[in-house]
Amino acid sequence: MIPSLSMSMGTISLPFLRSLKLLTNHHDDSWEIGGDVIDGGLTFVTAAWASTARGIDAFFASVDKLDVITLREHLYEEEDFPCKQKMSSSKKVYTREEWQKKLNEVKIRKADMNKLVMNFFVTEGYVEAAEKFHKETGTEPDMDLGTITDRMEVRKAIQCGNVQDAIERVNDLNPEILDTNPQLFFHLQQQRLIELIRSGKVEEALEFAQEELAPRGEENHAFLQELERTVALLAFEDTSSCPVGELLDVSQRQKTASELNAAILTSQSHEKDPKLPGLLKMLIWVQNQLDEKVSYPRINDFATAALEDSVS
Amino acid sequence: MVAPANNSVNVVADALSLYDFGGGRKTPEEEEMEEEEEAPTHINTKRSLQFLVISVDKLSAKYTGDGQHANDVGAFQGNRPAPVRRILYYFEIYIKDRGNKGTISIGFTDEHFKTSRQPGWDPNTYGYHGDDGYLYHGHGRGDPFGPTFHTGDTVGAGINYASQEFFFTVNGKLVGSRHKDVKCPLYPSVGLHSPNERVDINFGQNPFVFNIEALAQEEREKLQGEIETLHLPFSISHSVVRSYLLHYGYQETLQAFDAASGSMVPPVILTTQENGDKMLEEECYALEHRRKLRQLIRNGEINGALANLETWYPHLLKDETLMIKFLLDCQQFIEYIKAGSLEAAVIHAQENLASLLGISLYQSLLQDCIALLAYEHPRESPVGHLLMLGQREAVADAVNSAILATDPALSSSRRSPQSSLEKLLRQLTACHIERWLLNGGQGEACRLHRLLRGKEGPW
Repeated sequence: MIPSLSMSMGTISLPFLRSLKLLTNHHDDSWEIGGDVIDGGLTFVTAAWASTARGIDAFFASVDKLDVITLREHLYEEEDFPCKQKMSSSKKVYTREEWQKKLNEVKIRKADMNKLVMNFFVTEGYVEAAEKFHKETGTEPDMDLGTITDRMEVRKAIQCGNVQDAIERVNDLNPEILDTNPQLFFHLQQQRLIELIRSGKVEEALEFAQEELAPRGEENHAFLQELERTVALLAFEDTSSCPVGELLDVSQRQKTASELNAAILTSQSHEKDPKLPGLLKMLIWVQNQLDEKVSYPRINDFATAALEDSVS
Repeated sequence: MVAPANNSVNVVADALSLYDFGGGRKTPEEEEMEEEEEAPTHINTKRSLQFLVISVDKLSAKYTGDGQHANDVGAFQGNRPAPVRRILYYFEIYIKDRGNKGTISIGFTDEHFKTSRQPGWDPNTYGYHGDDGYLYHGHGRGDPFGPTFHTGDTVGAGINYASQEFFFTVNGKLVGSRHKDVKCPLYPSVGLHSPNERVDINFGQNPFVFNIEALAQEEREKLQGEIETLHLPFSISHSVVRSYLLHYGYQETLQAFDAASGSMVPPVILTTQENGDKMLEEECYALEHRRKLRQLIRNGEINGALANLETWYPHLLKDETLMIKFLLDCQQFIEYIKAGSLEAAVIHAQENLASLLGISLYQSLLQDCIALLAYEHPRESPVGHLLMLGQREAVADAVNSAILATDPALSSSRRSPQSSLEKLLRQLTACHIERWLLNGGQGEACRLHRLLRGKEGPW
C-alpha cells in the first residue's frame, strides 16, 4: 500500500511543507515512509494555496489505514497549520543483513586494490616491497623505482635508528628540505634523542637535549612540550610501562621516517601522501556524515574492518 | 566438511567478481552516478512564451508586453533543468537594456512554473529581482539581498550542491547565497516585466564573467580540508597493507615490507592487542600453501597446482560444485591455447570440461574459453583477456579464497573472507552511494574507481 500511497499523493498540494515525515502504526506493526519519498512525490501547485487544509484532509482521508501521523520539519512560514505535530526524529535503520547486501553489491576491482598498495609502497619509499609486489602481482609502479632508492636509503637509516645518517643523506639530496622545515628538523632531532635514550647513553642524551633541542623549544611552545615528553623517558627505569613509552616503539621511527619521506617527495614535486590514508580518512568522514541521517553498521576498527552493529 | 558447498560457491563467486571477467558490471546506483547529464543550452521555446520575442539562436529575449499587472510577466526557462551531479551549476544574463522599470529577475524554477509570473513569486521558484535588489522565494514579498540591475550589468545565478545553496552574482562579484530547500529539478529562469527590457543569456557557451572555477575549487578544498584534519592513527595504513599481503599470500612482498619497516609484527597490534592477534592468526592461515599455489598458477603450472591441492586440500577439488576444479581446468585449457597446443586443448576440454557445459554458473566463462578456439589470433580476439596475466591472478585468488574459507578458526559469520582493504573500500563506496542517494542524487559523485586510477584529485 505504501507505493500506491506515494503515487496517489502526486497531485496533493502542500505549499507550506518543506518535507513531510509520516509514521504509521497499524496493528502494532510499525512502518514509516521516508521524507524523501514524500518530498519527491508531492508537487506544489500555486492554485491550491488557499486549500491547504482541505488538501491535507483529503490526503489523510485517502490513507484511512494510517493511525498515527507525525509531521516533521513542518513549516517555513508563520501560517497556521491545522495539523497536530510531533517532533519525532526517526532515522532510517539498516540491519546488518540489509547493509551487508549493499556491501555485496559493490564491486571492488582487484587490480585497483593492487594499485592502491603499489602506490603506498612507492610513495612511502618501500622500494624492495614495490619490486616484489610488481613480481608477484604484475602491478606497474606509478613512478620509476630508481628514483625511490634515495628516499628508501633515508627511510632505512631512520628505521635503523641512525638519524644522523638520514640527516646527512637528506642534506646531500637537497639542503633546503630541512632548512625550510623547522618542524621536521625538530622531529628528527627528537628522534635522535630518543635513539640516544634507547641505547642508554644518558649523559650524551642530556647534553644533546640541552644543546640542540632546548633552544628550539624556546622558539616554539609545541616543541618544548614534545621535548619535555621525550626527556621524561629518562625518568623511568622500565620504559615499557611508562606513559611516554610509545616514543620508543618502532611506530615512532616509522612516523618520523614518513614525515621525512613526504618532505622529500614534496621537494621533488611528487604527491607527498599515498592514497590509502586519504581514502581511509574519507571513510571516517563519510561514515560520520551518514550517521546524521541513517543508522547502519559502521566500521570503527579499521585494522580488522569488522562491521559494528547498527544502533537504533 | 567444514565449509558447506554453497558457501564455497559464494567465496569463489566473490573472488571471480573482483575481476569482472569480461564485462564491467556496475550496480544501478553506480551507473546512475556516472551517467553524464546534459546541461541547458538555450531558452525553452516549446513552452508558451507570452509577451516575449526570442532571438533565432534562442539566447536573447525582449519584453513586448505592457507590464500592467502581475500576470503579464514575460518569463522563460532553460531547455533543460540544471544538472545536479556536480558541485556547482551556474548561468548568467547580460542586461542589454533595463527597459522602463528594470523589473528583470533571474533565478530557478520548477517544472510547474508559469511563464506569466516572475521567478520567486510562486512556491518552488527563486528569483533575484533587479528593480528592488530583493530575493524572492515562494511569494510576493522578498527580502533585501543585493544591488539593483542596470543596463550593461552581467548578473548570474547558481546552485551550490555541496552547500545546498543558491548563489547570485553581479558583474563577476558574489552577491550572496540562500539555503536551497527543495530537491526537485530546477530550471534556470529569467523574467522580464517592463517595456524595452532586453537580455542575452549565457548558458556557458561563452566564458562567464564570474570565476566559477575558482568557486568550485574553493568548495572542493573546503571539503578536502575537512577530511584532512580528521585523525587517522599513523599505523593503520601500514597494517591494512600488511594484512592485504597476508590475505592474498603475497609472501615475498610481505617479507620485503616487513624487513624494510623494521618489524615482523604490524605496529597496530601494540595498540589493539586482542583484535590484532586474532587477525594475524587468521590471515597467516596456510600462508605457505597459499603462496606456493599462487606461484604455480601465476607461472601457468596448473597441473602442479592441482597436484598440490590434491595433497593438501583434496576436499576442495571434490566438493559438489567442483568450482575450484573447474577454474583450474579452464585455466589449463587457456594455458594450452597460449602455448599453441590446440590439440591438447581440445582433448583436455573433452575430458574435463564438456560435462560441465549445462551448468549455468560456469556457462559464461566456459563459453568464452571455448571461443578461444575459434580465433586464429586469440590474443586479439574479444576473449583475449583470458590469455592475460590477470586471468591467472583471478584463478589464484579464487583458490586462495577457497583455502582461507577452510580455516576451522573462522567463525561462521565470517565465512566469506575478504581482505580488510576490500571491506573498507566496500564500506566507503556503499556509504558514499547511500549519502548521495539521501541527497537526492545531487552533488559530485564519488568515483572510487577513477580516484584509484589517479585520473582526478580526491574529489
